[in-house]
Amino acid sequence: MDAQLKKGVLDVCVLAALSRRDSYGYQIVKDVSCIIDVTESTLYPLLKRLEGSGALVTYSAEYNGRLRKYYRITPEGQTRIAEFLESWPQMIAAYDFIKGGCNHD
Amino acid sequence: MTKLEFLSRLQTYLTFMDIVERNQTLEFYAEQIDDRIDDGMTELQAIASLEAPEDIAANLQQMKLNVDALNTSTPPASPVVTQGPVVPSPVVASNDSRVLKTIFIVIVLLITSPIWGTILLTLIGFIIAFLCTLIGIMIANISIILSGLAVAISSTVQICTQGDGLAQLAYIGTLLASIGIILINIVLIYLIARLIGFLSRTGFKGVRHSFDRVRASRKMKKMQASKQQTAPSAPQTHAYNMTKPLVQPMPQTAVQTPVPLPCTDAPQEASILNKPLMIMERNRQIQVPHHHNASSDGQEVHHV
Repeated sequence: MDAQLKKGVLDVCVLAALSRRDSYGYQIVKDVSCIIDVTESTLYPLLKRLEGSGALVTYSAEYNGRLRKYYRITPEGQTRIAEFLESWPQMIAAYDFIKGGCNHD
Repeated sequence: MTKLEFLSRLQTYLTFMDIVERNQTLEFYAEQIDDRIDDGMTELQAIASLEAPEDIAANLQQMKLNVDALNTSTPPASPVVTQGPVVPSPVVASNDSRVLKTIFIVIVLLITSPIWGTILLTLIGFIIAFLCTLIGIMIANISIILSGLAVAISSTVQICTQGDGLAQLAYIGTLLASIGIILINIVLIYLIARLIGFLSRTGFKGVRHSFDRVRASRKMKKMQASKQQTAPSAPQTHAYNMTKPLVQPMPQTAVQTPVPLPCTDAPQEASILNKPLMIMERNRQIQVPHHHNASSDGQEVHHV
């Protein structure tokens, strides 16, 4: 997939994974890599970016005698998912147009 | 490689980050290893399933460069966490880089002007001297012709006025000789004039030709650039890794391919190529059924 397209979709996929439940790095990789091939070196900057833009927050919780960093989606992150889903008809229109046909006439 | 070895190797490659960022990154990777071990992997398996430290560093650096480039072109939506030393980015707007390149070339030309300036002046001097010599020879030729004419006239006068037959014969000789010299010099002038004409024409052509060549190469570059922009990108092993970073602080060692992670729901054998389609189709069914009905008249991809 085109890197730019992948980047845009991956952000929303990670947020979608978090909208089901709070999650941690490895779990996010497992959840998302079923849809798009993703590695930690892709995920890590992405999570930092999402955190910086206020789409998610982090907290630490004890697990198995150590602290694990969890990620939780914020209302702003939810808005981003909603925006993506709302833009979907436009994406489909673009897809149809690219495939070779305009359904408006 | 143990967890400690992995982390210390990663640390050595993360020189482009500041200390806070580096520690956060190392913490993140330490947690990834711990999570894998908790998931049932051995320490070795956990590390083998991650990318190699140098690949991780290269990817993170590339990502950072992209972010920096974005931040320089558009104001950031939120305060950026930390900005390391500004590394020249390969993704800067091409206009900026062209201007920078021109400035650089001008500076280099100015600095090296004592060298190429003297060479250029010498060359110009040579050309002027050569032309002057040719013109000098031509002037000499003209004066020889004029003196030849004078000799011819005086000898004709002498032939007419002298009563002595022998002297008359001698003057006929000088007249013929002067006519010969005049003819030779006319031919010489003609040849030199042609030489000057040829030289100036070829010189002018050469200059024009080199200008044309520069223009043509510029056009070629432009065309190639636009082609590259439209050309489909090659398949990539690493997400986002569009170009390898210019600065490669790490030696290239054997590249480890991460072991595929166990999937939680979707079938593992579905190829990566099919995956985007899968999401598309899924969302499409749920989100916009009306659109699907409206446009289901033929050129549709059917649901998996």
